[in-house]
Amino acid sequence: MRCPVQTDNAEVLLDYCARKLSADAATALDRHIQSCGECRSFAAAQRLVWDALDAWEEAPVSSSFDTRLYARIREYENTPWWRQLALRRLFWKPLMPLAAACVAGLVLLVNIDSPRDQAPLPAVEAVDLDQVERTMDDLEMLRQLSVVPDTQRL
Amino acid sequence: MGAIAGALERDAELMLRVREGDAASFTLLLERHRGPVIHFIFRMVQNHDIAEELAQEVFLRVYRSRASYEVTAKFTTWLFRIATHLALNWIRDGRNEKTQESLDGAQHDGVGRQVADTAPTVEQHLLREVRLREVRAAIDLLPAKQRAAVLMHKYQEMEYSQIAKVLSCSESAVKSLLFRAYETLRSRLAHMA
Ligand SMILES: [Zn+2]
Repeated sequence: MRCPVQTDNAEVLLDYCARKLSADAATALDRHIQSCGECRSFAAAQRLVWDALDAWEEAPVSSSFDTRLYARIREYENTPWWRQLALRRLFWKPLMPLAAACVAGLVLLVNIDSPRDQAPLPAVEAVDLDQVERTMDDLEMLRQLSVVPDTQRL
Repeated sequence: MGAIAGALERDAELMLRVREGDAASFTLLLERHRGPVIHFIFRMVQNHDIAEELAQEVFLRVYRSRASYEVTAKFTTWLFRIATHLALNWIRDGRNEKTQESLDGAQHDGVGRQVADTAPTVEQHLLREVRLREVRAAIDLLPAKQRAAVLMHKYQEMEYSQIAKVLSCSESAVKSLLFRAYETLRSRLAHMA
């Protein structure tokens, strides 16, 4: 077999150490490793990491997790429909271009009204932009999750 | 393979029932996926309380989105994309600066449970704690996206293709993320041999 390290195919060694290779592929790689020092040391180091990560076991989940979640769901169910839409942020989607235009207009007005030597207000603007960016992130995620099938994206 | 396909169909079927208003199906989905989601987020943010809080948000978003759910992706891909998105946002916003649990604290890592189960010696217990602390520190130093890829690959046993879908990138990008992440881990954990 061709050396995985030499041929930029080291993921085979990752799969080998994760014990994800088929029996045939693993046997072929076993044979190669016996004669290739580079792959042998790569596999030894990778297996060490793989086994070391096993030390991080799963922690117990709080017994109140479900109770807290159902309380939040009930709270969500009891909120008026227009608040639910806002929480799901779907409400904002059609309004985003309008909101962006308002922000742009506001920034323009502030710039026109302010004397040239007056310090601008970067902190306020930065926070707003950050919030807009975060909302856009969430919208993008919802769009990807809810509407676009995987096959169209990949 | 049949069992895996069956499990996938089961998740999708349950979610479709949730869409129709069946609360019991939501409970079943929660029981099946609550643990993996919390453990994944905990390993991302390294704080148990934050992990549970973010996991609550994940399941709340699943519930809120039930009406628009379509079987276009594996349920777990959808679930882990929400979980990853929330964890990455939390890390990006720098909210972990003061809330990260001490790496000395092992009460949330199953170490205490191990002691009760197998009663190792004090030395073995201390050695396990030291190793765990080093593993946690090494993972924590990885860039967030590499960390997510490694955690899904190692602990969720996801295929490259599924990790790619969760992270919205190509399979080759996932392989590259994993290759760099494991390279870093090999150098950071080499002394544990
Ligand atoms: Zn080789």
